[in-house]
Amino acid sequence: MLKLIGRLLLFLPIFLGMMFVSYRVDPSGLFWGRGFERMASEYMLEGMYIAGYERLDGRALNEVFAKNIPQAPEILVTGSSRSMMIDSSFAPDRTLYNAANVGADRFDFMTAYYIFGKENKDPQVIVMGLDAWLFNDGEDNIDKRSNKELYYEFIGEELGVENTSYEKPNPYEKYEALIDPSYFQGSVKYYFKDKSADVQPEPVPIEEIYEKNEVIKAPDGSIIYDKKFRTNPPEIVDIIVNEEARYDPLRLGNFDGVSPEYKELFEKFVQYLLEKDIKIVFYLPPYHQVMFDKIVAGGDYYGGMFETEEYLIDIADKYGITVCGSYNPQTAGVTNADFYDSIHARPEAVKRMLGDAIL
Amino acid sequence: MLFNSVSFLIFFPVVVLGYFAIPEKFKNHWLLVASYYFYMSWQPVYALLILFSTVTTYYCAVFIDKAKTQKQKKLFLASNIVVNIAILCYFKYFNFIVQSLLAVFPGLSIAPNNNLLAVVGISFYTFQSLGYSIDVYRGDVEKAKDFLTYALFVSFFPQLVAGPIERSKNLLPQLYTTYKFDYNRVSDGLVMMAWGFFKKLVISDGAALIVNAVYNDVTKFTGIQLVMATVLFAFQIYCDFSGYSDIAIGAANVIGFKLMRNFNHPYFSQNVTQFWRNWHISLSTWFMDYIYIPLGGSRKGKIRTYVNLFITFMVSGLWHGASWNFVIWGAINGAYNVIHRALFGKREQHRRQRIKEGKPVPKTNPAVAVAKAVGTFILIDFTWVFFRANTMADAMYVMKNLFTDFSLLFTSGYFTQMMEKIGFYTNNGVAIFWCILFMFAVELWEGKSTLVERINKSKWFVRWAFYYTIILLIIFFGYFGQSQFIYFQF
Repeated sequence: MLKLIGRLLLFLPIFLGMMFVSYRVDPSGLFWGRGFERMASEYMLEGMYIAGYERLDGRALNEVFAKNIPQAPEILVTGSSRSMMIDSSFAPDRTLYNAANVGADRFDFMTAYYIFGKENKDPQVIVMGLDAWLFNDGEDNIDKRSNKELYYEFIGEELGVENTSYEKPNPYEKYEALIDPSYFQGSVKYYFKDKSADVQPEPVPIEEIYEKNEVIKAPDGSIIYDKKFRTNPPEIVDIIVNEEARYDPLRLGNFDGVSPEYKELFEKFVQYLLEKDIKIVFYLPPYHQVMFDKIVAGGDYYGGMFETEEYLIDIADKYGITVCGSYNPQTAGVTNADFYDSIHARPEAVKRMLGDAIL
Repeated sequence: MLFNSVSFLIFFPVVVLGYFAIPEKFKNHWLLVASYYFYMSWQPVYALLILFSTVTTYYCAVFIDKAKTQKQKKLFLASNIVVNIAILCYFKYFNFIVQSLLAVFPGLSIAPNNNLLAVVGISFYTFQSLGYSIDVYRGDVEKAKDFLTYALFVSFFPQLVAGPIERSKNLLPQLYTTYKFDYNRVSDGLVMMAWGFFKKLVISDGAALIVNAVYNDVTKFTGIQLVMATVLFAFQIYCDFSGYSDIAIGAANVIGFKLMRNFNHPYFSQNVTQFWRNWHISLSTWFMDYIYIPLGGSRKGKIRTYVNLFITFMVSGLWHGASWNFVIWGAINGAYNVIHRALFGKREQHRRQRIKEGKPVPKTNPAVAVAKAVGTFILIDFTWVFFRANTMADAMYVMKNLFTDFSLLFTSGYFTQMMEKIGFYTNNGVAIFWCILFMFAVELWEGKSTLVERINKSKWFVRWAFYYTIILLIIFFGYFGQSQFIYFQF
């Protein structure tokens, strides 16, 4: 029997080679993330700015980045595109990563932290860009791109919330791919594939980042809007804002009250972070005055937004958390000139609102 | 449980290690439990059917053995034949018979039974059971000593669902012995299994992707595409079935049992008669012994010989599947064999007589031999059209359009374009082509010995080069989608 085992071991190099190729090439991104995002993450870790942002899966990019960044960023920013302009210049002496996601929903809100927490890379400060719609329990407020599985894993495993949607994943399941010859065959094909026609993230020289007419992803995760959008004259901004104000503000329609379930979850999340000695800063991104007036005029239809702000201030008082900004532009101290459109404030204005809260 | 499944990769080592580890008196119990578990992994309820056939056949054989008169023996044998054929007919042919009757007499008040289960391997184990009872009746073998041994004879997992259809003379005596671990035997078995996996996973399953693309929608294709798919099907079915047989023979050998050889380089055959001597040998010899010879064989004159041959092939066609395609496939092969016998029977008889007497037989010129093998392959491949086509209409379409648009082959880029449309390049067609050549090279290298005998005679580096080549080819080009073996349906 030993002789047979000895002979069979002579085939081991074949299988080890197969596993090595599958692991290194990893065509489905099981171990290193998807090709496009993996490459983008590599560029970002090298300090480069990237064009081709529209083709990026921001959520996947953040996951890969969180895995591969050698040390936890000191400051982590979460939220939606309304918080994506917060960059490392806000805290020049500290490391910052902006993990906010376009169209972030309540799932993204927690997973943006958890992708770092899961890797034992807790930040010292977390800046929570808190959009009111996070507390709107309407079905339309869920983004199809958010990682629900990861969210349920987080609230189940970390917050201790019982939920039927979560089934503990087998952490070793992905390693089955290493002994799967089909995955090996896919790796070989992918390795030899002509990738010249594939869309790749494109590094942008630092001197060109403000000149490009496309959105640029910065190495700290923040984004720089395209030149045209940033340099629109006030009368064009007014046109954009008025056009946007003809419709419901994003995900605030039919928001007549804050969901008690989400309130409870949110508080648990806050407690969880505080227990880990993570400083929390609430940032409430303001709306353009025209949009805000529309929300006020909408009464109960958008009423949940005002209730959310009150609730967040209460929670902040309860746990000693700093609150920056407000959904109300006047309270936040911003003017129409501080906006790109009806919901996105300019970085300079956001910097004013955050002040030294994150320093 | 398929041989090419992860479950089998776990099941097989557990069964083998268990077999070698447990005390001798429980070894056959262990194999019987394993075999039933293996079979029940398809549908647990199947086990009741095989158990019923086993019990009936076992006791019929006991009664045949105890019967005092020939008449009684005949009665018990007939009862057993009726029971097994009834099982087979009901589960495999009922709907076919009903549909055929309804096609001729639409007014009949009968209907197909759509709830009938397709029972895996039913043709194999009922034939093995029939063979056993006939052997006991003829006195060729003694009845099984006990029920357990007989149940294992019928259900022995390596050959249960797709053969080889074992003869009681060969397998039953082996079941009275138990086996210990033997390095040489186990490694020989593993080599056979690896070769079978290569044929199945690389050639058969690879070719299947192209063949299925064409044959599942034949009217979209024409000329060279139909030819390519038909040629590839010849290799698909050969590598599927002989691959299964190699794995079965290898798996049995690892445990200690020797199953009969089921294929002997059939595509090197010089004529159709020889082809059928080398293809699915366990079934061909079964039909020879239990149908052709009882019908009178060649003992009752030329015409009766031809009729007997033709009937045997028709039954063989029907055995393969409950559809008119298979009947026609059997009929064409029957016709081939009758014509061959009529034209070359005497010469063949003379040649065999010389071999029997140990006299030298004139050698065939290699170029002529290759031409004959190619000619035989083409004849056989025509019959595969009926075997593979989903319907008779599809088969007729293929036959009509097989050689259309051939003049376009001289147009630059036409061949490549046609092959692209059937997924030849995207499905590793080129690699499959080279693997088929490699398989033929190995079969030539085997010569008259078996693969294992040939390998054991070779130098160590040749052996290891072979092992490594096989494993690398499987890893690089194997298809791991766990496709069913074609012969399971029979």
